[in-house]
Amino acid sequence: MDSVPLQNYQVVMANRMDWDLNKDKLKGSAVFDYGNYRSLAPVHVDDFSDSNRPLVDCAESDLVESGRDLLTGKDYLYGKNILTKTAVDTTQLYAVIGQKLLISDASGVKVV
Amino acid sequence: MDMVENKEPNLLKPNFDYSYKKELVSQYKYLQLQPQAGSSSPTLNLNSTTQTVFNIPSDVWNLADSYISGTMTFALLANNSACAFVHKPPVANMYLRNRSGTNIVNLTNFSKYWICTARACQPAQDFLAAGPINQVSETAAQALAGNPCMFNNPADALDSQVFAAQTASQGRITQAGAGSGALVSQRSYVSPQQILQSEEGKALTVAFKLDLGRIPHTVFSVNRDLYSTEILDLVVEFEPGTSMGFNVPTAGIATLNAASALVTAPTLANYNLFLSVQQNPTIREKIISKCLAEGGLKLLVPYPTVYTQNIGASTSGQIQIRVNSAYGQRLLRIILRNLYPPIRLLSVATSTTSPVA
Repeated sequence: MDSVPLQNYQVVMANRMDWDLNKDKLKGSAVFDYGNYRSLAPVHVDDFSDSNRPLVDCAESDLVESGRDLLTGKDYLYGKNILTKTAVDTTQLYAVIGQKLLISDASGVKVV
Repeated sequence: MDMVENKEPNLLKPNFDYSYKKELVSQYKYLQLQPQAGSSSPTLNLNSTTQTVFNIPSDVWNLADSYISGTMTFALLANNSACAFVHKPPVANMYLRNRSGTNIVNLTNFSKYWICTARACQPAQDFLAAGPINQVSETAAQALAGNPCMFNNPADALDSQVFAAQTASQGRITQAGAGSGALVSQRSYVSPQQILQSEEGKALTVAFKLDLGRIPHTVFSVNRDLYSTEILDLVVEFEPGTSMGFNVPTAGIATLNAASALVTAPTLANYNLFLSVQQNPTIREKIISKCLAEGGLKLLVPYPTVYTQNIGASTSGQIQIRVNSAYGQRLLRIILRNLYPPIRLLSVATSTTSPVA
């Protein structure tokens, strides 16, 4: 599983979950924004190819930048205000999946 | 004398072969645990969440192989049928904590997280092959929330008679969305098979089974044995009753129209945690020894932090997250998703109790 070290990054969720760019394997990416520097370590999200799930309409023209991250070789995607929705789709869920160290020792169980 | 492995050719069937083996084969047994209050029938609240706590004993257990189950019965108004959402576990929040209050898993917005991350459907043949307990078709009482029936919409070539034939008399999977042009587009959001409906005038009993191993990106889904020297608390907060189901009057049964919120909280019964406990003494000893040794047992685990955010009525928006080490040592992924919009067939009042509620 890809991972990047966590520091104080500002993440702009120029998101696309079901952006149907399967051909380019860009489905589901979120992008880091370090202010002026947008080298953008991509965060690959789950493959939401399930057709039963809702799609958000999104025009490809919203795509500002895409390409290949030189560090990881992964495709990345950068967009701006590309989160579009219908009037009723007001609630967004976002989940940050981090990685912690679980320690089970004589004092009990904890994650750090 | 040291144990020596038998080198002779093995002519016995495995069932009768009691010779010494080097392999460490896991042997699990379920330990049935009731919630802390000592009752397997806790009272659910109608308009607020209900907290239940399981004490996980100090033992060698595998969370990914464990599950929570129970049955919920939905009361109904006169001349109504009761409906339940069966596409998600009826759980609002879920935590795994040690006794000093440190969260090992902190899953707020659990049902929403489930909707967005867990596998939402399965092919019909897989569903049918899973056995009666998984089939809504058997009886409504056996319908499993969280492991729902995921047939295709009849409009997508699966004959609607399949539903009728499979769902007996006690409950049925609603057909809303099929046969009406205005509703066809709803399928992308709330498939009709995600709602289970009783016959008119009959209460609806739905079984739910929450396989902890199916909760993505958590300690729960890490399929290996763990040992704890202290008792852990598994906190399960049920959703408000009004978020689990609703009533539909006779006139609206066919289309789920004119739905109304529940006025009586669902009742919960047979509510237990089945904890998968390792029985193989060799494995138990190794894991316990590892935990008690200097440094203990260390394991990198995924740790999700879940938020929901309402971005209002505008048609575009931008969410910014400041990612720091509070989320973990490393970042595995970010999931961002719009939730299911309300079922537009339902009345406005009940729309707030739609699957996203």
